[in-house]
Amino acid sequence: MTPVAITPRLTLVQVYAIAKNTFKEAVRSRIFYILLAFAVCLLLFSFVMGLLAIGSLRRVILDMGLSTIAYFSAATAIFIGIGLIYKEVERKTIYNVLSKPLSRSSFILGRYLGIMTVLLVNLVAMTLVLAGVLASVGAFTARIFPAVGYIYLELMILSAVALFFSSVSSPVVSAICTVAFYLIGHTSSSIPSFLVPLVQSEFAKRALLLLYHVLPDLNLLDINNLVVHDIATAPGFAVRGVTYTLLMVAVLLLASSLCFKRRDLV
Amino acid sequence: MDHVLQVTELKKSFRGHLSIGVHHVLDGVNLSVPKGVIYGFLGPNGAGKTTTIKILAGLLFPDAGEARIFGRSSTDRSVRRRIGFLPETPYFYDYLKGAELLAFMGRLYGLSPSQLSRRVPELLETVGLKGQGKLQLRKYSKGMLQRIGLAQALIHDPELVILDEPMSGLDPIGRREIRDLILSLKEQGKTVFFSSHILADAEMLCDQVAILVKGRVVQEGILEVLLGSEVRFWDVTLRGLETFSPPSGCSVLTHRGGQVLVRVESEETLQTLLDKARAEGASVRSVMPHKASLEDLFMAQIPGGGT
Amino acid sequence: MTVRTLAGVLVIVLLLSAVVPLHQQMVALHDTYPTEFRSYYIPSSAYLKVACLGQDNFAADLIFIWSIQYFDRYKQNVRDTYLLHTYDVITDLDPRFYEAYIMGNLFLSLDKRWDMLYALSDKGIAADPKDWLVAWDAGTYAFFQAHNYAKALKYFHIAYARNPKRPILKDMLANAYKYQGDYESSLHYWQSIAQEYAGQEEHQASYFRFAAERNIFDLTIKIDLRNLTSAVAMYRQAKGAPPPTLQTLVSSGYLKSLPVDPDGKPYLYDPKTGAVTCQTPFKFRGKFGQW
Repeated sequence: MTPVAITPRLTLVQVYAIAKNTFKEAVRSRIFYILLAFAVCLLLFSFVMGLLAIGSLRRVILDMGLSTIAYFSAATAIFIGIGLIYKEVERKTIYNVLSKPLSRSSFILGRYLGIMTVLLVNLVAMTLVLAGVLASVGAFTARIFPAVGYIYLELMILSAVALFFSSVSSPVVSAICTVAFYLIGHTSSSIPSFLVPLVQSEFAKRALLLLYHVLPDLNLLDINNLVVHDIATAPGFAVRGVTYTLLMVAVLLLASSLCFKRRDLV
Repeated sequence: MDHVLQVTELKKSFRGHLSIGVHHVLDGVNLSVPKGVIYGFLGPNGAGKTTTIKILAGLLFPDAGEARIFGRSSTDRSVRRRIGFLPETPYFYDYLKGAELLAFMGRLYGLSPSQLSRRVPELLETVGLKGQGKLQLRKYSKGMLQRIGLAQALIHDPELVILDEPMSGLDPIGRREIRDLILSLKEQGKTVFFSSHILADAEMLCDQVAILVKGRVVQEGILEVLLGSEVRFWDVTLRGLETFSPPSGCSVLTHRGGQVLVRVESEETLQTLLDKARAEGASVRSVMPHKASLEDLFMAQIPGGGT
Repeated sequence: MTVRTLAGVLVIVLLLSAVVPLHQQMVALHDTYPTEFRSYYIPSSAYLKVACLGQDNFAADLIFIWSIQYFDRYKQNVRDTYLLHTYDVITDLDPRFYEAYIMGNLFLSLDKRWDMLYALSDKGIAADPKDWLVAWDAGTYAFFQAHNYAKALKYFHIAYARNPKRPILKDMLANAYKYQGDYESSLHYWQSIAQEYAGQEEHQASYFRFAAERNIFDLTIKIDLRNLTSAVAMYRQAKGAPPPTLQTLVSSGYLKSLPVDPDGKPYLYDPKTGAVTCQTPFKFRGKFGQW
């Protein structure tokens, strides 16, 4: 058999094969189902919670529902993401894959697409449950779909962060760093309001502001609040949000690739 | 140059645990593998065989020196289309079925689904796993895993096959089958490069060998040439002697129930022994010549291994 | 570093430099959202008690910390609508969270919502039978800002009952009675303080003793002046004219005896106007009748 030439088409086929395998692996992991089951329980429970907050049934179900989806899908992204590269190296299954005519970057991209597909399935399942709960009390709003869409954008960045740490360190360190990034991502707006006034030099102020702009700002991508209060997103925000996410993901995947490219797989 | 694989002054060191100390694994490895041979890569534990093979597979990067496959650097992705690689103790995704794994690996080589539908059952049969394709890998025995590992190394019909301990975990029947498989690969014109501990298999299979000790190749070449064709000693079994004192140049190995096993090192001494035995009324049961074995050659290379 | 690595790093820097203006734009868009929507509403305490999964105190802490962050950003209408509710919720979650009562009182006092303040404080007082701080706090607001001496007295009594050892409480009680006009009760407390700290020279004790002695002096005068003035008024009403001397009041039976001021000097009397004054100046502020 003549060997197949290395073409862009081959790369696509390879990336797809890796992604498919990643998907199969994630979907068979216990943690995926545990988190999903938990989330569904909480979503159903939000109905009960809504009854307790007299007069705010719709608000509470939406609040709790969207928050549950946001937290649990983030937890899933982190749990699966930190093992993406590390587990392969530790279990030595990676030897078989990387000894094929496959670039390490394709491998990383394939793993990333695999986990994003898994998260998509996760989100769809949870959104359907939430829609069901809302519909059962007559409070269904189609705006939960864009809200979940923005949650997906947030997950895209979070997974890329988890993947990056997975390619450079062990699961424990990756978990800590990824969670730290998640917290930083949601509180980065405190840099200009609290930190900048604290420093004296102009240079330090500018450096902090630059840091603020460069760190992934996950809070910005969160429109749950807007949805609950029926406020429309500003025009042009969606486009910018998607572009922003794609840029951050590209940066993170590129960084993972650079770190992983010359790494000895002992 | 018809050399499929050429390794020149390959060096590799690792930092020790917690970055304390340096562990030199490869200290200038040189070897070359011509096309169409079965090449045995032998050495004691810790010599650096697996490290060398990982460098060839592109999993590790050498500190110095180079490994060239088909004339290109080992880090060049394109050469991997033409290599099949079996790692030591293969680990696979245990939730996949055997056939799924082969299909996955095949896709990474760019084989189309139609090609795969033909190749996968073909290969399963070749490695002796016919009908086991639908079983999950977690249910495979060690021997079966070894075979499926071999199958995924061959799925794309490579020109060069690199195997790290292909016989490990197999029972004698399995070893025989793999031996036959390797021989058939040679018949197809492929080159086989494998590392092994089992010297008997290597002796039976290899055209050429390299012996790696402490990160350097201490012996390399055609096996027959290295071993020579002279007989080193004879083991003579004599019957019907209650007592026997051997002539000089012989040593009695065992003397039990009237049967004596004597080792003789030269042809003249053999004649002397046979004459003496007949003179004392003993019958000669067998005379076994021993040529230099690979084990002898091997042990000679190990410091303190004796001759 | 190989060329490829360098190129990769360069691409990363380029991408990030595109991210910066994009992020700025997104922040600008985000700021256009109406800030009122960032509502200060929090749900009922029944809901929260369940939602915090048993960690009532922790939830109370979080809401408390959150509420004081936004203090300076509260607008009037927000404070009107949500403030008491917020502190009600916090104190429902943790009825003994006395800082919450204090803070709530502070916020309410700024808007002079005295009824709400008293309601919140009553809750705190009821919740912890040993706590005197909330009562004290409410009392001070009633005394110094609301000038509601009846309420002040109520709270100071509660505080004093729960913590008889603090001299300031007795001191404030006496003061509150004084401002309310109940000089006798006030005098009683000052005398009690003077007795307690008699002869003590240590700083705090001497302060209270000093205040007590001065107040006793002034109050005695005030009481006497009041009695004398009302006796004069009664005489005047009955007889149509003020009495010629103060002694007349005694002899006519309007007074049992004629008091003298604490220094032993008789009170001055002007028969034409019927005004009674003291020749010894008050110990506090030195002006007659001024506290």
